[in-house]
Amino acid sequence: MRLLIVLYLFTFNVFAIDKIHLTGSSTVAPLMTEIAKAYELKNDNIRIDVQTGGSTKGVVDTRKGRNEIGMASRAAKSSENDLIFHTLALDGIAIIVHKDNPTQNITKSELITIYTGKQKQWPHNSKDISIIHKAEGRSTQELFLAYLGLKNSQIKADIVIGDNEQAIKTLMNLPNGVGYVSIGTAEYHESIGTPIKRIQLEKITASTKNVKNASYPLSRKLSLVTKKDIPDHVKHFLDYSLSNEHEELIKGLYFVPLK
Amino acid sequence: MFRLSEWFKLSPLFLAAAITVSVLTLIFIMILSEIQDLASLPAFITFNGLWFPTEGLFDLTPMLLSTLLIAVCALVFSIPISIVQAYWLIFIAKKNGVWSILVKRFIEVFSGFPSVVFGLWGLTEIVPLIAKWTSPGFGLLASAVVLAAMISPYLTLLFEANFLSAPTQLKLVSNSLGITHQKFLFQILIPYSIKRLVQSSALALGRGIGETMAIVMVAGNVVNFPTDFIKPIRTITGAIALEMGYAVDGHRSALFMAGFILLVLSLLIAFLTQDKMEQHDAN
Repeated sequence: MRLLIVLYLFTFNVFAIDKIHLTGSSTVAPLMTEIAKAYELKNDNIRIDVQTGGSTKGVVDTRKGRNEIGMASRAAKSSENDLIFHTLALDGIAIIVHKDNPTQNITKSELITIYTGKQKQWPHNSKDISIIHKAEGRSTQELFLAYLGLKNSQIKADIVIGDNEQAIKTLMNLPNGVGYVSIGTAEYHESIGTPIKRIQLEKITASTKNVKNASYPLSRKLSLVTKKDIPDHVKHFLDYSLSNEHEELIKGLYFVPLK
Repeated sequence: MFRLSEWFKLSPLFLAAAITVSVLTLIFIMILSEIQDLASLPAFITFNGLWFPTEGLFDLTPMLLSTLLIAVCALVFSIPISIVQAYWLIFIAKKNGVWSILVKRFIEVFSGFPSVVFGLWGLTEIVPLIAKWTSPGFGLLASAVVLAAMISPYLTLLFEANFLSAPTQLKLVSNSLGITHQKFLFQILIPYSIKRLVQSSALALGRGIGETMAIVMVAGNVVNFPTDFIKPIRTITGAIALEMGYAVDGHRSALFMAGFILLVLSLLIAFLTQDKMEQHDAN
């Protein structure tokens, strides 16, 4: 028994455990948690700790050395070129309506008038628009509001929902509804025949293709942030995170893979 | 004083009770520690109807009132149905007949159905039905109907037990006097078991207040005061379910405060019914 303990302590000393801390965006955190789990299974001597707190915290922590890798749901700002932003995946939001709605295209200013309650009816049938909005704190809601330049208290919603699936289920039963979900979710549901459809935003189709080529306006980059020089074990994990292996994970969280 | 042998017989029971009590205590402690400052309670009861946590506005009153009103409306809808069902099961249906067994089994199965199924039913059937009258159909009416459907089977089983605890002589004497079912139910049976019926209803009320998923699907979840049957409203449990996964800092403690208020409300209902029961037994 004593031998075992000595052996254990010995091995513990030889294979010292390296820790990697990630902090930042709550949008990126679920993806990194999954990637970290997979990485820990392959590498016994690494422990990865993922904590949320917002993109800004992620970037500031990285700069101050409080984490090894920061998470941000945006690209680098010009004031941040002391750090390196590695694009992990993309995120885009599709505006969706019921399949029977003939609307093909919507502009940003139309979206603002609808979501602030200034335009109450659809032009094609003069029926009241049912506005589906997401609950506070969700990343899709955050991106949507940031794109429209509105505060949540300015929105005049009819129905507030939680996740993408709930938005789809609600809209299926609302011929005069309008809502927004992650593009991946909308594409999937259209492909299986759910009675919803994406409409173009500023004449650009909401598709993963247009998110990848950056022509679709309602989208953003999900980034990992590091300092310019990083230790080997962090580099190894970073390379693993940015590799092509995680396509399924990325799609599973309704994000858009880079390739 | 217990003798040692009796203590050993009772110890598993004692252990079970101790675990339950300590879990409840731990939940209380956990919630209180997350709230950090219980003295900030008045900041959540401002009656301005504004709940925009990311902008620093935390008024819980519209959600609190909505929660209570949905549960009360659901009770108003389901109590008459459940009383009639329970009465039918005991006094009208043939004892051990095919129909009474079938209906009883059906109600038992229904009372254990997952609430999300009721939510789906509300979303695809009830809401569009109300929307035909006035769009979009989400709100107090839809929520109360769905919740009534959910708690009605549960309430029927409770009422059945309440009615069964009335002495059988009551019915025998009534029959011999030629009293109709209607008169017997309203003038003899209900007055006789009124305390137990109230107690059962309060149990169902507690269940209604805690219901989350089914209501989230049909209430509309916009934070409004429940001034209208068809205006979208949000319950406290709904807010916790929708926002907790993404809440940080002040938003998070506001949700814990909401949970704390809900817990106190449930305990209050439980204590009040306990009181009723003891009075009844004393009678």
